[in-house]
Amino acid sequence: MTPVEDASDWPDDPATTTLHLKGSPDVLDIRAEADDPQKILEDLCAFAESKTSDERALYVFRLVCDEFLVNIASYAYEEGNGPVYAAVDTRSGGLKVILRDRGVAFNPLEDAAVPDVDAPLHEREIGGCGIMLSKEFAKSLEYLRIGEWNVTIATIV
Amino acid sequence: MEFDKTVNGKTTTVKAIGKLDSVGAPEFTQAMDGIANGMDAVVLDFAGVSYISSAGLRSVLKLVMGAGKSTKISIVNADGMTAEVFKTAGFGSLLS
Repeated sequence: MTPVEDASDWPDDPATTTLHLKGSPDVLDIRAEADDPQKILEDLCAFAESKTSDERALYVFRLVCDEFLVNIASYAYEEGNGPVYAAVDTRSGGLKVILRDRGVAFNPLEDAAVPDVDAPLHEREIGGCGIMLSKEFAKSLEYLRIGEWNVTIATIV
Repeated sequence: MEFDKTVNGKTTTVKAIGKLDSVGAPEFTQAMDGIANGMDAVVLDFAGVSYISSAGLRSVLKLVMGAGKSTKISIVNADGMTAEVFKTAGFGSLLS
């Protein structure tokens, strides 16, 4: 887990990066390898917890980050590991996470299977709830495909 | 995670403590192995569960499916967001 020092392989759309905010005490920006989602998750949550005591927001933040980081670790890279850039923006009392990976194009807002939450539990398919829960609990979710990058922006509050 | 199991007749109660996430879910599944065998009911006390993700929901669903319809699985004391996650995912029928 290293702070971002080199912008050479970032998406170049400034609206989707936080490079211009480097040094802000209200922004965390890290680069990590996708294959250790739990480590990334705990780093993001530790930063969020240092900025807000809103328990519901922190729960939703953990849930959304958890689901997307595990998805990236599981499906983004077909040939082994790859990079994840994760930024947490808490400026102006907000809580937002931006996740970027260079994996297979995947739009969670359109491509993810939707579980039948009305089906009896004994007839349910196992899986598919993570993105649905993120959609339900985040204030907003946005997905962009920029060049080779998947960019997911989740606003929690 | 930590689990404290109590058997009373044909009912097993399990107090779970920790986060039921991608780390806790395999521990939950292991701890629940065979727990419904011969039981009328399994009560999961989630007062000590501070977080659940879709991985945790999957592990609960595995327990429900493995238990079949002869053993009633229920969840008690899930509070706040954890209860909301269960309801939103369609698991509300387990809550009591």
